[in-house]
Amino acid sequence: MFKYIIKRLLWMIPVVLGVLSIVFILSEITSGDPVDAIVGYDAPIEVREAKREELGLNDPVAVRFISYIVKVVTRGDLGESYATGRPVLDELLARFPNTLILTFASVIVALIIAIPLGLLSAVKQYSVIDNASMAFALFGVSIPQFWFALLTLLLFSVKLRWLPASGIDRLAGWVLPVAMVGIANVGNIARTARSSMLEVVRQDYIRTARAKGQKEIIVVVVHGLRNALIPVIANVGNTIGVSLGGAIIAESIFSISGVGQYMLLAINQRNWPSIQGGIVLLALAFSVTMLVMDLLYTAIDPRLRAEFKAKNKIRAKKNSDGEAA
Amino acid sequence: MSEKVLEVKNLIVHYETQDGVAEAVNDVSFSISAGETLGLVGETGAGKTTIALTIMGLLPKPAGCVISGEVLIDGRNITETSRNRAKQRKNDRMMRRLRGNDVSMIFQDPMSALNPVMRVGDQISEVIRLHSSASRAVATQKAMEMMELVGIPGVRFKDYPHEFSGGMKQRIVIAMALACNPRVLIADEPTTALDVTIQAQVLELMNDLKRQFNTSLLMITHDLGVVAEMCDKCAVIYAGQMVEHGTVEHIFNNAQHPYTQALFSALPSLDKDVDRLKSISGLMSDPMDLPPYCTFYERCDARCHRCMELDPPLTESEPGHFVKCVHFMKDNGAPSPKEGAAAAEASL
Repeated sequence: MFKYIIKRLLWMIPVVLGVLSIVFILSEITSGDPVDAIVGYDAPIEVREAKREELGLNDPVAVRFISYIVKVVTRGDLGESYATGRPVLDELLARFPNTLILTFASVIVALIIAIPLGLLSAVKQYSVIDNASMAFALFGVSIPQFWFALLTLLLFSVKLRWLPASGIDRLAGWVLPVAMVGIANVGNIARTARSSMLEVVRQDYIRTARAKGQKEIIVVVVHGLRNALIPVIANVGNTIGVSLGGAIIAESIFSISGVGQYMLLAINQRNWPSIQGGIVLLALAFSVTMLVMDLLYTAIDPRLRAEFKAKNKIRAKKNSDGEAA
Repeated sequence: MSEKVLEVKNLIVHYETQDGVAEAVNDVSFSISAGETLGLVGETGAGKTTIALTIMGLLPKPAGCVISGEVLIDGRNITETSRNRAKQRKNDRMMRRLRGNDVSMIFQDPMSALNPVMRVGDQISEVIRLHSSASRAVATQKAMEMMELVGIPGVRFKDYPHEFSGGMKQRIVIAMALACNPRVLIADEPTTALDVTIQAQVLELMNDLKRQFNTSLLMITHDLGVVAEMCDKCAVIYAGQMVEHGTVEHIFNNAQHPYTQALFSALPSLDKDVDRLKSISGLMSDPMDLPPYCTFYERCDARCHRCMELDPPLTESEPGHFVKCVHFMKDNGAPSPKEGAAAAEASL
């Protein structure tokens, strides 16, 4: 297992390199000049040129790419932000915890709502509960996030004055953004849980559990849920991955200083070092999430664990055969 | 024999689907005494499994409904339903206590009958803990004993179902079904999914355990060999109806219903060298559209004009031997099946 994890971690290197090369190519073909944001549109041409030279923007893209990689690998240096002049790494690390909190809190909220909802609708298929919860799920998926965020702001902050409209200096400040992102994710997860559970409750082993005289709730939760979880986990993994880089709307509306908001600003300013740094961070975060999800699969399903072990054994055997030869 | 452990009286079960009502079980009655084995024989779709599920109270909801009739386990009627919610909850609770404890079932396909993500030992001890106040440790001990009893080393308690072969899984299912020494054991084609060598082992095992615990067994199968091996009595089911019912000797030595006779003539024989086995032409009547007369009429070699006039009742042709055929009705004026067949041939 340890070897597998190391291998997966090493695989992240080509992933990050691949993503970075795409960013560099995009930086070459997008319009807009970072110098505009730094020195202003009306700066004299000589000033602009000097700045370009200083930032190394006149070098060919391949040269910039390689020198960037060298800097990252040798010094762990992601460069300085064009906008603030401060190290990108520091700026990102200051914001990443907020994004992490928002992502995980909202996924937990989504799971707490979505899994019981999915289970109930599967067990009581076509009942009032099923229709109501699936309507709610559809609502969660299809409602535009920014509009929903504004409505909740209007209600809870402006009219009722229960919760702060922005800022996360108090715990209450997290409630609205977490709820908003969470509810947006409920739909997807609940629908996956429902369809997966619908398949599971028709299985013979569920009938076996009933034939033992087990209570219906234990049949569903203990015997059913664990079997139905794999597709749900896959879905949650994707959701986390997307939220890590993409809670941009929530971060902007509720003024949470997170990675999404930082990247959005950086893109507007053509602030390439910040964009590249953010991309590296998100690619790594996404890869780690996927690795954790894959490990969770094997924790849940002993068959996958066995398959994994069998593969390792075959490989070990092949290796030893090769050495012997 | 002694008192009746399981009694099914005039059971009628329908599946109410969107396409219509399927009459799965039509007026079936039988009983099993302690330690006795009854074989239910019939082709796929005849309603055998539906009978079993009704006895377990596990008919698929909401489609499956018991229209009328009774299932008595130790004299307690389990098919009672009530519109009163509290009463129904009490019924459900009673049924849960019976299930796995007084009546348990071995399902058809051992490959899918075990929960793939639970250790087999836990699956066996679950049923023990449900029906006794045994602690976890005691239940585990008992589960290991049950595994040893069916010939699986107790140390494999912690293994998962995928680590066992099909025959071993079926043994675990049997261990699970017998863990609480049920009064009635229903075996729904317990050997169909197994290869022949394992089949014999499993049957032998079930016979041993049955004798050891004096369990009554309802053996559902379409394998007449299994019936001969295991059963005391035998009932032949066709289109949800019992067409013949008697001791194994009655059925095997003196099959009277044309359907039973056709089943036997479809068996391969060691001493006769034939190129093709006999088959019964046609298909079983659609349970959504059963005829008002004899359901076997369309496929019967011995049919005559009388067969289309009425749905014959189950008639005692000799002591303890019941046949549902016009030709065996007393004073019906119809020819015996042999004469009928001759007449049918002559008319062709």
